[in-house]
Amino acid sequence: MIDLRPLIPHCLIVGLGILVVLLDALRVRRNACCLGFVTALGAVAAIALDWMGPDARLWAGQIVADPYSRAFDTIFLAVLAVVALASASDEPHIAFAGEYYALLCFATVGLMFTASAGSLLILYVGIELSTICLMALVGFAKRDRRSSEAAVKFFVLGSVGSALMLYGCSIVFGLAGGTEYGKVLGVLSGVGGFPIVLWLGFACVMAGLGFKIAAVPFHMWAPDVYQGAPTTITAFMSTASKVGGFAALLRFLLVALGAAPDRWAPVIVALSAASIVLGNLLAVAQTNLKRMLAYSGITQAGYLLVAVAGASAADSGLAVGAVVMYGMLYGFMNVGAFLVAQVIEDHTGSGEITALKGLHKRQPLLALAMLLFLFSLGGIPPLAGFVGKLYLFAAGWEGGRFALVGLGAVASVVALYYYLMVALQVYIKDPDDDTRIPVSRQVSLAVAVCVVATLAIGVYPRPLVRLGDRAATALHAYAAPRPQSALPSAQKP
Amino acid sequence: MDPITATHYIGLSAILFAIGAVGVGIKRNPIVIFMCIELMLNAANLALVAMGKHLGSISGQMMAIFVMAVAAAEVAIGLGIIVSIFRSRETIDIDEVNLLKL
Repeated sequence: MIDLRPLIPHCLIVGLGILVVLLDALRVRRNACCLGFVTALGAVAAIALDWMGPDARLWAGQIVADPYSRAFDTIFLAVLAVVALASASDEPHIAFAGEYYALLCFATVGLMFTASAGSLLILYVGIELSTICLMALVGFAKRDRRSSEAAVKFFVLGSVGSALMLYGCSIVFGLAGGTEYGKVLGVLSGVGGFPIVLWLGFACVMAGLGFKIAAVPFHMWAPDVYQGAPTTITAFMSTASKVGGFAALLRFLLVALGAAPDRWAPVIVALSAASIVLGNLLAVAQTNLKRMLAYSGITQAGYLLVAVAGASAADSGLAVGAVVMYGMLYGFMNVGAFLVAQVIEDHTGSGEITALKGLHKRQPLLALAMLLFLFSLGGIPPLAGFVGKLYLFAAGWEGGRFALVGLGAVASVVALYYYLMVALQVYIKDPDDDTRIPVSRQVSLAVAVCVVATLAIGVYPRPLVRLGDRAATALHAYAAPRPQSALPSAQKP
Repeated sequence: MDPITATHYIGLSAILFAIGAVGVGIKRNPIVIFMCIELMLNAANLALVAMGKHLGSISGQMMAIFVMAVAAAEVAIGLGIIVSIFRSRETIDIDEVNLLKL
């Protein structure tokens, strides 16, 4: 009998998605904004349930529930809760509010499976589940032409990315006789090299994951889709979805290809350097806030890849911990920045950076929050972004990627320029009109959560560091080379 | 005449995948792009089933069933998006869908 308790939180979130659709269909008082609150509460409950469940490897290691997957689940569910809360104020105005939250829930479940995936098949299904839900959500504002245009672009590029990844899966399957990471590892240690066919499979899988994390050269979709999609969805995509890609990437590289780190490390270094340089250069030129944040997100993916490159060294613990930690704090600060962008866009109807002009006179608290998020993204102490980046670069340094860390450090200084340009609009420029910008209670609460998290993690990062350590230990235990007979897949007749 | 082996199937699947990938790159009509994507997915399916047969393992076919389910979901979403873009602009040519700067 298989112990299915580790999957209770996944089932809870699926049930939550169905529940909100039903509540919406039953026309539970729309004005109460209850669907958003229900979703947020359910997400928080799922975090608690997740940590109470036992560690397990289900179906010959295809799905792995361990502190590593739980740490990432926590990130996705926290982002889901904040985004659902922030969407609640729009609830009375949007059609199909129930479906909106349901799709968000299902996308989150897909990401949770991505973090737990112990085989390429589950990885593919998890990534597709989240991507397909997000395709629908990107085009959710049907009357907005930009929204449907973004959906078409996301659909075409996303489908190509996932088809490439699937072809990679089929190659690996043919080579290893299964897509479980244990079997791939078995092939690697069996032949004692890196067969050319495996390179092909690896390249295809990397293309799929590169699309998910929006790393150069798989970043083309990000600016257009981020700009066109409803802003709450952009917030979710730029954080939860990106971090989900990293959760899968780390487990795939360290477990399945753990025996040949010197082979994949150069690829990661190249992706990282390209993302940092190109993301930064293009971000400087942007006039639209969401596009600027999209390019800054590409740069941030590059920073995360610095730590992944560092993970190729013998002791990968620091790198895994750093990615978990940065994933969490990046989630809060980036969602916060997008929520402020949404308030401004809703009120002024413009997504340009100049629309933020004189925000400190029109809405002082919101201006202060935006300043915090921007400084945190730029990595100014004592905010969360600084601590997180410190750990990422430390992990890269530990792994011997000195040049890459140097590039990242220089890029961080350049990045300050475009973050400060936005801050300049907010604080120095005078507004065109002095009318106060109204902020709904729900959005205020969501922004407040992000502000508190950004400050708290920066001042007292210890709990998050410990969470990262636990995740790293779990992944390390899973990835430790074992004799062929002890592989979970070998138990099958 | 040699019998048809797994290699032939895998060669065919590689050709189909390449046709699909090139089609996505050069076609301008989303519905045709869409068909090319389906071709890529089914090329992967063919490879999976052929290799499963070759290895004497059932999991290749099992994975192909997963992929069909995923592809069906993608079709539903993709057609929905195309319909919505047609309603808002009366055209679905991908080159005319350019409100967002590239």
